[in-house]
Amino acid sequence: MSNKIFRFNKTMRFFHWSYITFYFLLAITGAFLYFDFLDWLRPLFGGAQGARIVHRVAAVGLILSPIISFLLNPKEIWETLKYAYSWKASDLKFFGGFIKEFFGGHAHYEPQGKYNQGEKLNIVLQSLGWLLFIVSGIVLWRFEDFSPEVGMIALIGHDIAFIFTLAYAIGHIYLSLFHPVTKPALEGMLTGYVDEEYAKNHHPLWYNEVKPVKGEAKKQAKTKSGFVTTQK
Amino acid sequence: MNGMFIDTSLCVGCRGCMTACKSWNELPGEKTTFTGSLQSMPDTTPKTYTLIKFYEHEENGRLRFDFFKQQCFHCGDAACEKACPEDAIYHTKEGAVVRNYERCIGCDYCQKACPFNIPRIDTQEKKMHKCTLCFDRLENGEIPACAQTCSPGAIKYGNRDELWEVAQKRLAEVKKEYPKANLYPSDKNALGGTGVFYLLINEPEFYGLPAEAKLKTTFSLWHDVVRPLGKIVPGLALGATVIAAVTNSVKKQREEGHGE
Ligand code: HEM
Repeated sequence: MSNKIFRFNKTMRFFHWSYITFYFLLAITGAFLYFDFLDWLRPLFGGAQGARIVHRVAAVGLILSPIISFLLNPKEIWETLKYAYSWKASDLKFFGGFIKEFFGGHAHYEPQGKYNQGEKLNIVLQSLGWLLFIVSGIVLWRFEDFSPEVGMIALIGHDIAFIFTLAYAIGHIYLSLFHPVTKPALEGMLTGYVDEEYAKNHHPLWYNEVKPVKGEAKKQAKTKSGFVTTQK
Repeated sequence: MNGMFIDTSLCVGCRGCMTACKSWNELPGEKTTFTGSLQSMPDTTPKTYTLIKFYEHEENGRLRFDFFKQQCFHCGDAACEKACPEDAIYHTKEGAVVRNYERCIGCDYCQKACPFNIPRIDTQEKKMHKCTLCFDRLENGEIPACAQTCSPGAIKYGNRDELWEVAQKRLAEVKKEYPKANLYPSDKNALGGTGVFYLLINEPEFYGLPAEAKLKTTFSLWHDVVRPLGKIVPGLALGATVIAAVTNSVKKQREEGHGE
């Protein structure tokens, strides 16, 4: 048994799984209006009108999930966002290697911190998507109260959020459930801990900051980048 | 194909068409308030499919009443039909654009897409309502109730090509008295050929109509670019993961092969 390194605290895990639950409820009930091939699932939601209501109820959940997480642990959420939104030109090199590795090739990355560039892009896209879903979704919710022009623009905005968050989510799910190289990361979101080997190989900069100091087996220090990695 | 020609220069504002419409479609009267105009109500509603709009204004010291009959244009290339996520809007073989009651969920996409803002949603019932061109009368060889009842002959129903000729002759005559008169849509084939067209005695903007009868840019952007992207991009993502699953398992087998 290899050592475990603490990666995701309760707030992050609560945020991740609650957001996913609402996201998928919304994606399915929204997709009824977008595609025809899922329509057979409609009875599960009480028909067309039932699905519209579920979409609105789940929307409230999707709006609240990040807000509640922020209230639970403002520092963790804030630091995560700050980290995800900090980019430098050389970060883009990551994606060349990523594409190779995605399809089974070997890639050499620059040493990565707590989140690699792909994970950072995920956080950026999903958080922008969250905003776009809310702004456009509220217009769609009160459609009758808005002019046709504003209404059409809201539909366009909602669809764009749908397209990019869904495409990224598909890749994300594949990487976390099936891809041989990235699969071990899933455990971190389930239990909070990842294998030491995985941490060392994939996130060496982060690992160096949080690796257990002798005598302080489980307690981990606050990192330079400000992440709260100590378990409460 | 048949069509309807509404010659607003002949309209006297009697509203017989509104009554005939209510009567044939069994629609109740609605409460309204006096706003200083003789127009009966501000706008069409889910229960009022057509409305004679009154434009009272002064010209050369004389009070004038100009009229416009608001109703569905029954476009050949109907934005509402394309926008409907439930395929609830369709063309009858007589060319009327109508809504299937069962399929409609009242989402209001049709109203947002319509260049003329015609569909109306009954928010309690969650269904869209609008002028049906009396498609049920057309099916039985009758003409729409409003056309049948119009005593000054401002609403004509018949062969579309012939009516377009009539409209052009009328336009030439009317131009003498109303120099701004025009046919609307000005192009016979605009919006795939509208089932309903008008002779107006003022510019379209005077009546709150778009200057040119065409699909809205935002609608085209949504329907022709964004919606198809929504089917392609997640599809590409899914395709990429399938390919990756294959290449990764091939790689794994190869590595296991080397190990032996
Ligand atoms: C705060 C979040 C959200 C709100 C307030 C919201 C609200 C709405 C509303 C009111 C509609 C119109 C549907 C109707 O009238 O029945 C709609 C449509 C839709 N929603 Fe959402 N939604 C939200 C988030 C999401 C998310 C996360 C997804 C997908 C992942 C999504 C996917 C869709 C789709 C695909 C449609 C149909 C759009 C179309 O027909 O082009 N929505 N949404």
